[in-house]
Amino acid sequence: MTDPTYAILIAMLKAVIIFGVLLQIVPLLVYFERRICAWIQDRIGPNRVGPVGILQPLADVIKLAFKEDLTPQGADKWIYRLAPVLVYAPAVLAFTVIPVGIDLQVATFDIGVIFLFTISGFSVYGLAFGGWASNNKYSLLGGLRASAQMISYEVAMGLSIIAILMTAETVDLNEIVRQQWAAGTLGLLEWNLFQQPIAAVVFMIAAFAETNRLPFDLAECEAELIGGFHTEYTGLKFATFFMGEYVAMITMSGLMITLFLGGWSVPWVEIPTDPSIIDMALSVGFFTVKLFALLFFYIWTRWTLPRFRYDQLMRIGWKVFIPVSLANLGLTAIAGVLGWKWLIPLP
Amino acid sequence: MSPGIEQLFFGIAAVVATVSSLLVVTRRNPIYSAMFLIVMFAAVSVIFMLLDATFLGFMQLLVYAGAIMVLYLFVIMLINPREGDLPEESGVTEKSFAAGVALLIFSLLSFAISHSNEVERLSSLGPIPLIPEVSASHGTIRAFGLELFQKHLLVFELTSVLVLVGIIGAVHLASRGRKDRTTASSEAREGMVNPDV
Repeated sequence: MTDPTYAILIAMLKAVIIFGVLLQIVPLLVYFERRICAWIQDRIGPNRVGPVGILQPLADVIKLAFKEDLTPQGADKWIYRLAPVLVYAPAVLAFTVIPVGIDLQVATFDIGVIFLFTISGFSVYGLAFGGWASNNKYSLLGGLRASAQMISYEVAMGLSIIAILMTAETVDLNEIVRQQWAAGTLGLLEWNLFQQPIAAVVFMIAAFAETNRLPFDLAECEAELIGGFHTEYTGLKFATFFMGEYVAMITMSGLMITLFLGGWSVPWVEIPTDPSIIDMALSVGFFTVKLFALLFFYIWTRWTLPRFRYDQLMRIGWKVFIPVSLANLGLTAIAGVLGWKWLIPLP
Repeated sequence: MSPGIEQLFFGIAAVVATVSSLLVVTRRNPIYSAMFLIVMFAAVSVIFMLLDATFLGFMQLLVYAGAIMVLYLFVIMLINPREGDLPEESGVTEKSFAAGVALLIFSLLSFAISHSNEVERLSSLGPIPLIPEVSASHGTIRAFGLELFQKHLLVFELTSVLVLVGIIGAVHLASRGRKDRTTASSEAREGMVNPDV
């Protein structure tokens, strides 16, 4: 195990596996999204390709791959090509530090959560550059909105993460998960969702805004901006944008699970100090179940709530979420100094 | 990391930082300038990380390359200058003057650095090591925080006053603009940002 070549091989294997799994979850997620949206709207949804329409994403991919790859006249060719990658790459990169099982992540950093927060913020450049390079006023407006929105909600999100880091007194994501574990059903209350409810709500809403999901998808907003930043994109470039957004959604859900929902642990199963293969598989399973539950919540919200107006989005961002998360930070500091267990005292 | 790999990464980061900062000032299009400025910040943060200042490196990425450059980009895109709108390139006289000033500052800085107490202290101890010995906790959040709040507390607090002054100034400017528009439609008063954006 101590052999460095061996360690590098293991790390590469992990990276390939995570990359592959993330890539494979995306079509599945698109399929779920379409089926769930149809179910919510009392329709049938895609059910023709393969059994219950499960092969529909494959057909979509074939369609996207064979579409003509257009570059609009007057577009800035280099930035136009670069933009989709700038959305996709940070989302995948950020996922590498999320522990998907007991001490199981691709990259072990001593500042995991800061790495994730920093890198995932970079995907806004893809939206902004893509919108600018398309030489289309609707795209430009979409890109502008994306950058303003990202700046505004990154502040609220960062402040809510800081509240968690203050109670946990560490930035090690595995350690944060371990702290959220307690035996028995009442152990659920150890989850930061209950220990830090204000931070959890602010984080969740900011995550919706950061990933450009409805009700905050003002950067696309087809009712006003046609398709926003990706109006001019076709074929696989469009698909890359699309996948980037879904991977960002998975990454944000993963972070939400790790910070607020007990990560790879559940209160009913003891965390072993020396995990066997079965323990590992179990913890990965818990993480996956939580991930899909949260992704369902994303999809559910998207097809239930109407879109915000742009000025409303900015107003609640700056005048509600930032003051609220600052107040929460103050309360957490006071509680920390006085040695209180926040909100719910446990036996 | 072995010294060879570390040097290789340093070399790459240094070349990228130098080339991209050159591109920042030579590109005509401000969007390209902003893009290369982001690349430059990223390369500098790699150098920070190679110096075991991981936290500082990520802060550089988060604050400069992440947040501040998004604001820059927002402003540039809001103005959206196209080729025709850009001002003429300045003449040879201005360019040579600027080059002279840059050369002067460069030589002053290199003189100051090479004659600083720290360099002299290190060189008196023998050849400067390729990779300086640092403790394992060097550059972690803990070490960084202790350093900041124990040794440099006054400077830290003064900086926060400076930021506060900036915030008050910005709020004042924004509210003055709003007062002039009280006669304008109520919608314009609603959002902090123009609702058309």
